[in-house]
Amino acid sequence: MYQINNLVFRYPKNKEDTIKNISFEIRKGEIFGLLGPSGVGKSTTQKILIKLLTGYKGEILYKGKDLKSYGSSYFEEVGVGFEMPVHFSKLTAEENLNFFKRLYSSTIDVDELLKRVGLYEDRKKRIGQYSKGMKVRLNFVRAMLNNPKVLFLDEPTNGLDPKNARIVKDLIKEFKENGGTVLLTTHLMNDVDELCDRVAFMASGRIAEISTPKDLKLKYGSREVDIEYREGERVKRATFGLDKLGENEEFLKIIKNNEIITIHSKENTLDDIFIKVTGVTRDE
Amino acid sequence: MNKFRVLVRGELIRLRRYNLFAAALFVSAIWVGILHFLNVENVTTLVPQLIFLDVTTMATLLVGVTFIYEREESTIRTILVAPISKHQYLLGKIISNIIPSILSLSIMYGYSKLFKVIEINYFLLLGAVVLVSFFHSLIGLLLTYFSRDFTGLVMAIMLLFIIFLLPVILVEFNIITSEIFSKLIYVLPTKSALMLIMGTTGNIEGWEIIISLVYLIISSLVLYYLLVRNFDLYALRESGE
Repeated sequence: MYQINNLVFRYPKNKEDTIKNISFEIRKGEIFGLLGPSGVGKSTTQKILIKLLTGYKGEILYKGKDLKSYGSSYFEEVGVGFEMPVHFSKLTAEENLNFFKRLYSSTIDVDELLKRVGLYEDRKKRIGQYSKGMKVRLNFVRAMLNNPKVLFLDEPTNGLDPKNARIVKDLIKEFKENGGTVLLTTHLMNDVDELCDRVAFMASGRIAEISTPKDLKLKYGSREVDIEYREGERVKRATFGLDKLGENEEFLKIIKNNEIITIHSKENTLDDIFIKVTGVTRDE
Repeated sequence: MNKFRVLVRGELIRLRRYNLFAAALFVSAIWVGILHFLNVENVTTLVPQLIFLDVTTMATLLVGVTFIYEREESTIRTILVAPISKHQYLLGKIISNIIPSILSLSIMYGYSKLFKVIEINYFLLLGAVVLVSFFHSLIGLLLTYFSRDFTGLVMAIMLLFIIFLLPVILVEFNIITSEIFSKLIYVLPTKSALMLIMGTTGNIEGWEIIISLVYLIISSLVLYYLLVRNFDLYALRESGE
């Protein structure tokens, strides 16, 4: 869907490049996570892809064509979900959506989506009366309004309770199942783990790592298994390599003769990988 | 619906919901109050003078305020990712901003026709108001580009009024009578705006009206060019640089 080649970008007032020669692709129909701490360039990358920033060096191809060659009609195919509220506070949710809806040539059944995210009953309320969670859900509806082919989502579940976060995540998965492509930016690694097909970790304007969550966990984890078991009155622990585990006599003896309390493979969580790869503690 | 019409309609709805229409109507009511309580029967000169004050101040202020609201509520971000061109966006704002000026003109004109004597062609006055309001909307938008917040915008508008509007008013109402000063203010676009509006009374020379008209049209084109040219930088800033 997108092919980014040697992308470099510097803000007009900065002395240093914010994006330092990055190359990656976003495949059609995948959920791609762009991750990293504050200020590493992931928002800048996203803004370039949604044409808010111009004046970059390098090449960006969208559906095989230079992104620069697309006019405002590009936004007929793109939906952008912002993290912060982006609606007119003195208008109702319905009025807000109707205004934006009329700017597109193709739109979804808004009422249906409002029902799915639990805002239908509140559609005639002014945005000023909405809670943070309601505004986040409305942002998602706004992003989906034009039945986009590509969704750019910035922290789509931030500020949502688990029930509503589940609804939004299910909608993102449905969007993907229907052939949509998603670029997801989030700090919630559980969401990344659940949703993303591939992730890119950014650090200091560069892509530090790019792969599937599973491969990253394998790469940065140990191929070992931890076992906690009871031997008589005592609780004991042991660690075994995963390779040829089924032939490991000691391991087989333990699981055969003892009560097993816990058993875990020692793969890293994405949180651990985030810290390892980006080299910093998360600060946002 | 045509996107441009959607944008204009949206702006007008917001002008109403954010009580900016109400503010414009309140100012119009003040002008009508002045017309009512002044012991002047023929208001052919006074109405254009009041319309000049109304259009130059309100057009600059209203468009600035709507722009500031969009910034403060971050709605500008979601507008920037809609399938509209910057020309559609900016012209939608400007055109909708002219409507309160037309409304104000119509109220004052209507009152004068009903209760006083006014000898002006409404449509000539309407044309002048549209151009002057267009020009001042451009100024309001440009000022907002460079204002950090609402306070900054108000300060910028105050400064603008002191430099561009006050000298013209002082001469128009014969508070300053110096001939050199009166000639110097011809360089100000606000003087052209006044000439154009006052020209509808029939008391201004034809060549003066033409020069004012050309000056305002050229100034508007230059301002619009600057507005479009700086829009990307503005968008960059508002998208959270």
